Amino acid sequence: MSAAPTEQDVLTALSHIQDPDLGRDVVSLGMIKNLAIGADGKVGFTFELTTPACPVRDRFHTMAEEIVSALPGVTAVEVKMTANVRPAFGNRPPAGEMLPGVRQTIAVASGKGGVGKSTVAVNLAVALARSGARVGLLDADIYGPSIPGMTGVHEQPRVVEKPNSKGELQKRLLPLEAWGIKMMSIGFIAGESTTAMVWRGPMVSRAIEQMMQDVDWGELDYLVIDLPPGTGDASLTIGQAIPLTGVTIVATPQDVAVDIAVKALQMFRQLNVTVLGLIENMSWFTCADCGKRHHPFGHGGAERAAQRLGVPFLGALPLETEIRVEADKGTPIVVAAPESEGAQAFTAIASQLAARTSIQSFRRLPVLNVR
Amino acid sequence: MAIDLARAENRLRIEWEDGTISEFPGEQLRWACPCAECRGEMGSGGRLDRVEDLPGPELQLQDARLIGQYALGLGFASGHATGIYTFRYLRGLQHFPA
Repeated sequence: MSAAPTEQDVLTALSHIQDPDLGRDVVSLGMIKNLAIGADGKVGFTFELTTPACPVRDRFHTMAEEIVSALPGVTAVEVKMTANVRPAFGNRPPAGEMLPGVRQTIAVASGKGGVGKSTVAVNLAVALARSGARVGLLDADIYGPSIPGMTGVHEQPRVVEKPNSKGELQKRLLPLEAWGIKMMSIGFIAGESTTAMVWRGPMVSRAIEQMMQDVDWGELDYLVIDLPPGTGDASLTIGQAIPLTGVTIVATPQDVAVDIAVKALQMFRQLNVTVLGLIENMSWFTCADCGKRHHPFGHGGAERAAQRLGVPFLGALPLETEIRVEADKGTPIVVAAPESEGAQAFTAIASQLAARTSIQSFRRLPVLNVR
Repeated sequence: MAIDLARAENRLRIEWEDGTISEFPGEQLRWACPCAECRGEMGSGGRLDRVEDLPGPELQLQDARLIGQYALGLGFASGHATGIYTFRYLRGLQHFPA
């Protein structure tokens, strides 16, 4: 009688079994588990199928027994058939569990660039925090992160290990804190000054998912998300990964800016995301000499568009040198000069936004049951 | 809106906000998969244009997840899970009232 076969002998023999649906052999697919070979020639293993409803289950069972029994030195074969239904969507959490401690998520979007969207996002976040809320700010503008510069934070986030809901230790990024808000930006991670993020769309989407999933946001009343301009990958990823409470769209008054802002608005409507309202930035300029209000980009464009589209108009913001100067220094205007016209306008818009958000929080999300 | 996926019966049932109920067998949903692999893109045909039938696990519903607030992602026992079925699309599919 010949000696018992080696593990390799058994696996080589089993690799002749092909899965007809997946088009590969069952060994390289990892379906053979817990292989044990006794000195007496007894061979036992588990045959793990991808579904208990496998149509070739019985055939696999018979084939595996026959092939292994035929090997020299084998005295008995015991095959245990099991099934491990793999998660269809990998390890990504469902949309409702992506940001477990966050109550409301508000995206700040724009059609075109240069309308002051990041300035608006930072000041709204800080204004909400000054009203007593717990606020986070996620910079989803991967190609042009401006949150680090505008908040004056130039550190790297710390990595800590924390247990997840299943009790397994996981690496988590700690958000940075300034002006009473928690923040995360690709600029903190990659170094902001000269490094360009030369990335294709899927990389951008992955980075944004990580800034939601792998960052220890903790308990937040509001997470403000500064989106990149336009209707690209980043906005779509956010619209798919989480049930956004709503989006606010920033535009400057001239037609060319408003027309493109409307495109962004329509994208969010397609994604069934509520438009919380339009904000008009750079609406007027108060002359230091004559004290008169000037409207260099026209007047009321965003308000008229809001009326036409049936969405709320949240307010207008002035074009103020101070806002730009303080942003460049890394201090939001609502902190640097809270009594200024600009800061007052930001605070008023933030409370409008909070009110609109509260109305939204009564909406009912679809209930999904899989059994 | 309530969505119920019953693996044993291989069917998806949606109760819409207006109270209407739609029921879809897994087989119908698999053949209606709107993903680029199945439908093709930029004018070229996809997999579902080329095949005449699909093996059993392709038609067996296995999992579902919400995509933001506008769509449902469906996974089948074969592992195919790339289809994003917007609620608008599902509402427009021929369905079988309960």
